[in-house]
Amino acid sequence: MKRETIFQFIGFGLVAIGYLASTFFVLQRKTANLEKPNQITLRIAHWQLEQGLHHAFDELAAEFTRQHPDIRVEQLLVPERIFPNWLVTQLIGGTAPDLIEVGYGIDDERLARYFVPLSLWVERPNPYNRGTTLEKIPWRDTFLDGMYSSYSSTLQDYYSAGLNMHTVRLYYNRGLYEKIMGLGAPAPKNFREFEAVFRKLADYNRTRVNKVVAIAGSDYNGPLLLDQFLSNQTQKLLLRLNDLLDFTVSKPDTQLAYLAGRWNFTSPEVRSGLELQHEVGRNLPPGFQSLRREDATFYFLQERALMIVSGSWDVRTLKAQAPFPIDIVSIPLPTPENPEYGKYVLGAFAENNDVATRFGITRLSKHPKAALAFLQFMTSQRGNQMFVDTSYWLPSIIGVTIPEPIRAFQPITEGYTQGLAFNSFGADGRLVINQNLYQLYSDHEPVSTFTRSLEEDLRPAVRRDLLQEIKTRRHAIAHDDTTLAALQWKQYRGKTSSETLRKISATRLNQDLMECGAYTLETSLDSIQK
Amino acid sequence: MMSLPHRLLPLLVWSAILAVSRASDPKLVDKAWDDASMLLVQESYTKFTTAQEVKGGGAREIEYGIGVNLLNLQPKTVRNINRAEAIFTRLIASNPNDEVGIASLYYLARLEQIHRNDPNVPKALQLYAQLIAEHPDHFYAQSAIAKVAILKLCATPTTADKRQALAEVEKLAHLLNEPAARCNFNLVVSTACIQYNLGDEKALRYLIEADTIGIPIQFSEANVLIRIGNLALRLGKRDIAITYFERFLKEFPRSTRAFTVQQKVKELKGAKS
Repeated sequence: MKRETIFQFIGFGLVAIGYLASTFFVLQRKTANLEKPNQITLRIAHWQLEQGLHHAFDELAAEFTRQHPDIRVEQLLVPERIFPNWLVTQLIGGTAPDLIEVGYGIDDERLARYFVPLSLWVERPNPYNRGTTLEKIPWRDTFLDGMYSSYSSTLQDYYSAGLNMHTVRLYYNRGLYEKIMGLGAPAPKNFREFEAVFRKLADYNRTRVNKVVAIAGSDYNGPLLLDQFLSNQTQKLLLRLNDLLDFTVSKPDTQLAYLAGRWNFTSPEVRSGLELQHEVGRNLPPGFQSLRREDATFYFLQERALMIVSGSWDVRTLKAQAPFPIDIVSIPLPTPENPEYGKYVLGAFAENNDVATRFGITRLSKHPKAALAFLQFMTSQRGNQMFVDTSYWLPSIIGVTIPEPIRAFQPITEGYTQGLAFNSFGADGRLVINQNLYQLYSDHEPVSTFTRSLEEDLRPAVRRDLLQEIKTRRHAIAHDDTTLAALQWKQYRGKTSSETLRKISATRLNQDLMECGAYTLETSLDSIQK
Repeated sequence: MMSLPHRLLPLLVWSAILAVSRASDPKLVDKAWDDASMLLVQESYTKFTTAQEVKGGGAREIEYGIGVNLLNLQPKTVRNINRAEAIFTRLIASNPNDEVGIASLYYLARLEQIHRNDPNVPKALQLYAQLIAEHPDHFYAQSAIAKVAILKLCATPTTADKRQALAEVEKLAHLLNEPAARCNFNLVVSTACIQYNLGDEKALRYLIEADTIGIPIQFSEANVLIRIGNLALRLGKRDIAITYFERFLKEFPRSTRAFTVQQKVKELKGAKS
């Protein structure tokens, strides 16, 4: 036999062995998961691969099956990056699971086409809250955000229910911190103490070959920290831009005010914020804007950085992987009492209570009642308590106790609204800012150089963003016409319910307000010189 | 061996059965409206078209359904918009006074205002005026009043005479007899009053009336309560300010704006005592 033929045989043999082995493993897995007689399987898909989450969902599933022996729940974990493509394939192919995490890859049209509206149930109590303080309260009102995050203003309905909230904090290496600051040294509570940490660390590094960076940074973690300093300094400024007198200024209105010259990067508040960003940003690794999230995590876990800023979503992962104790505190921003940076500050920020990790029931579900039951179970007081106790994520339901290890993440409710920041700009505006941001961390006149670098490109970019915003709003306004025509026709034909009447009123108001806002934006933009 | 036409026979039989079953589906038009009410324009359009082919429902209703779907059928083309215009025009011409005729007049105005690549605002205003004059109490005429207010107050250049526009718009207010339409009108006019400095007193009056009627969207209601509080404060009406700020705190205790409002109430109560 020729040598080549032998190799071909070996090759085919290896492929055959591989095929048989994989078939064996797949079959074995199927057998292990096979549902019992008279049992249905609910499938739930999400992209939360963080440590503890898989386990938390497993616990919820096990408890649910204990209460409903005829239902078992299977998790499908799909990485964030491929989730949108995977989702579209499943939805179009008719193979979508019963419950899907809503977010990536789901716009209003897909929500309407593939998901079940929940308005019929949100007004009624969640049956899984029986025997708790929430027993008689409508499901919607048991959420800390009143289900605001689950509401589609285009469709005027609720399409999901969420499990948790998130806040951002400063994590620090307790052991290293005590080495630098002294045994038992308290965490920095205000900006002056934060600055003291930077100074002490510089002293510590003086005698060391392997220098320790103060804060691990990346294109992801950097803005989480630094944007807050700009927001801190612009709190009073933003309130001055609040023409409609409701203590909130939308991002497009902030951008319009920029174009109208009501603020710019040389405004004293913004300049002060940029100076702060420079001062703090110098304590991140040089060129942090080009580092990835994983790089920052490694820096911190390898004790090459003393601190890292991230959200409550990372607490379990960081605590499990770090070979040192981790403490968590709020980001020490300047308070109104700060002699240098206090004059533009109102006070601490009230933290957003938007609910995340929201699941919707797909219309393709073969077991919609069971899917609704599991969704209600997960978002009941007991179910949510079980979820947060295992995941160490913040609860979404009223009355759920925050576990001790994540107490530091408890949202601040006694606070003022945030000021403006780089994220107040649209996509094009942020691109121009990010392209020039490196100049803010240079040594020579950083703030002036950065500000000058934006002069030429930022205004046209903001204008483009606002034109895009107007286009998006017009699209939504146009869509409402067909929706309203259909709802009104149903009412005219007497095929209506109180829910249809509510939707007619809400859709009509939403359209009028959006139309009013879009025209105002458009005419104001026209009035501003290019 | 079977020849090609013979092979196609089962397919033809299947298509015929499908067509007959669809024709005999009395709920096809209802389903088409259900789809349209949920943004499923393509599905709705297909159902209406099928119903038209098999004459499965009222001809005017079906044609109207096709028209309102054409406004948003993707891809949005000039041809579709022109088709919708032709449909609405035909429906109005054949009977301007039934539900379809009145609704068609409204959507003809919407088509000119929103759906054309080059909106024709004067034409839209003329059609709205015709609708309001001919059928003042109809749902669509009531809706049209807020649209006229939007076009005159918000869609005109910032340099236009907004006071004159406000005076013209306010002349329509007496025609509003549907509470929800009045609420929307009030919110539009009050926003313009604040935005273009047309009078805080007026804005406050419109807002309070809208709130009394009832605002169907929670987030908008929250904005309105704070706006009333701040406007009242600006006008030196402390009691009104406190009342509305406190109502906001009661109804939206978890809002990120709650603390700011709380501080305002403290300030006001402190100043009062």
